[in-house]
Amino acid sequence: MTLLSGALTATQLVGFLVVIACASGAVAAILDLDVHPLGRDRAPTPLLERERDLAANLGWRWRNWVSVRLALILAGVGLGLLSRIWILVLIGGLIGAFGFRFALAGRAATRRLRVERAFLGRLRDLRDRMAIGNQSLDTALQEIGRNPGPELEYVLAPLARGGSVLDNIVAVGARARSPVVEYACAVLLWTRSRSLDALIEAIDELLLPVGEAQLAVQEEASVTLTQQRAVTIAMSVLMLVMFAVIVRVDTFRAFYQSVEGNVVLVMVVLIFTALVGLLGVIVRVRGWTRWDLRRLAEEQERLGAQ
Amino acid sequence: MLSDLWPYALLTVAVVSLWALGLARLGFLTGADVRAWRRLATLRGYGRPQTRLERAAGRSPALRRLQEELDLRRLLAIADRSETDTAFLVRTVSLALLTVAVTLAVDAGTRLGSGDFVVSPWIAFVLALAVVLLRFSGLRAAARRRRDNADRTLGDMMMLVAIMTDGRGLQVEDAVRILARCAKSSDLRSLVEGGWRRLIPSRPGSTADLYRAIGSEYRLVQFTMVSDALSTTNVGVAERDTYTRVAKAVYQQRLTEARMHAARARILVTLPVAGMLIPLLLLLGAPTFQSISTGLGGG
Repeated sequence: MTLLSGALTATQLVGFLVVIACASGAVAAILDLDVHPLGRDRAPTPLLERERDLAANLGWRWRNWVSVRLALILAGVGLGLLSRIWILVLIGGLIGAFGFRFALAGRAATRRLRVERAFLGRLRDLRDRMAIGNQSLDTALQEIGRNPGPELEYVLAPLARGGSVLDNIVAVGARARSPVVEYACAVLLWTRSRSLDALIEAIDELLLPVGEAQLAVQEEASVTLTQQRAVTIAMSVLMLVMFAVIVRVDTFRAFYQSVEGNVVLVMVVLIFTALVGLLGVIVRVRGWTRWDLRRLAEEQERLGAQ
Repeated sequence: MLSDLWPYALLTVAVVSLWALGLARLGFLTGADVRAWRRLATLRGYGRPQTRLERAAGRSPALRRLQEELDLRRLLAIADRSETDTAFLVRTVSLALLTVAVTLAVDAGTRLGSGDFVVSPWIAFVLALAVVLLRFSGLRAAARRRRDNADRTLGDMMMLVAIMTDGRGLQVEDAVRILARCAKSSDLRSLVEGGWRRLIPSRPGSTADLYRAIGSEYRLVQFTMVSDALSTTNVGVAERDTYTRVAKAVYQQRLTEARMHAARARILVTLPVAGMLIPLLLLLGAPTFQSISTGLGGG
């Protein structure tokens, strides 16, 4: 009874914490949870990888991307504080964190498709240089790296600097952060030590047709995805504008400052998020295999040395 | 007050006993070796004949599907969980009981304080049921995710397999194993590096047979496709041509699926888009309704 009435003694508090700790331990044991070591060599989390992919596909530096995201979260929280509707502090932070990302995801996908399309064009160029211009792979790659075109300037820059071709191909894949480019780089890694004719044949028969098919699949999905994003953004803006208009009326503002108003806002956000999630499930785009090019290069070298 | 709790305690014991009895009857608490012996005995005609109900269940596709979906041993193997089916069930039961106990304790505690239950004690059983359903749906989702990842990785590596088997003279199995190690997702790697043994106890005679067995036991379509391709290379068709064709077929199939999916999505997206009017109406309607009802109350 004393415990329930709120007057906790120090011994009761310690006892309570011990019980909670024991129960948590029991649950962890039942679920067989593992505590991962906090080492430096931990694999990057998929969430972080997706963020890096998005920044790279937009052509932003990672540092800029993080800075803008943090600034927007702070702006969202600041606007929430200014409104004096306390639940908006949380909602503003969430909009700052996810709204901006959602708004730019379509643009990132479109830009990535453009880069991939341009990359396939460069592959055709590479094939022609080897087949018609009689250039070696290393020379052809270096020349393409010197004239990459505006879309691929950053991605193909490693090819222009000379040095190990293997490392340069790996660097191109790492910069592009695109499954199509990674795949093409993987094929180049495995075919580069073979004859020039075999490499030209691989580009003609495998890389170009399969690359085109990959792009066709992505473009098919991107049309529906773009429509869905446009509708969602339009509805979000409409809701924000309507909300900004109605909170200028004192009665409505007082309602949204009350507990009931906060509950309504939370419900609105939850329903809207659930509907956006449902849209995402309906138009879900099938992912592609991502390759660890460094590892592929090591395996290729290991087998080549045998 | 404690006398009020007796029916609930007895009900809990009855429910758990029924649960355990059901699991035992379904064979979940029977060892794998005993199940295997029983199956052998049935095959040799020593086992008990199937009842009419069991035969009807065996003929029903829906029930067969349900049985497959609830096949814990298979699901755990596909999801690459190291625990056994019995351990999974024991954990699930423990968690459900823990949920019941915690909810009832909190509810009883509030009754001690305020003299009445905050929520009905039935909620404890509903929550326990939710825990069980969550555990099963989580396992099914993990199995589906791993199956998709493994299938996709194998389909995506076919072009590289064509190059490696042709130019390097590698065997398909070795090429697949090397490439699986180089994929960022580890789902295929764990399967081809011995993970298949969980559902295929002894290794089939050839790689084609092994891949066919993996495809069948783990429900991986790409393995069956590669196995068929392997069979054609065994009769003299060039490996490079065969796997190139497989790679092209994979992307053609994905393109067709993407087109079908996009066509279906165009119709389905109208539902959530129309539903987005609900939060908008709620945002505008709630304060208006409150103002009107306050005005009417005040008047």
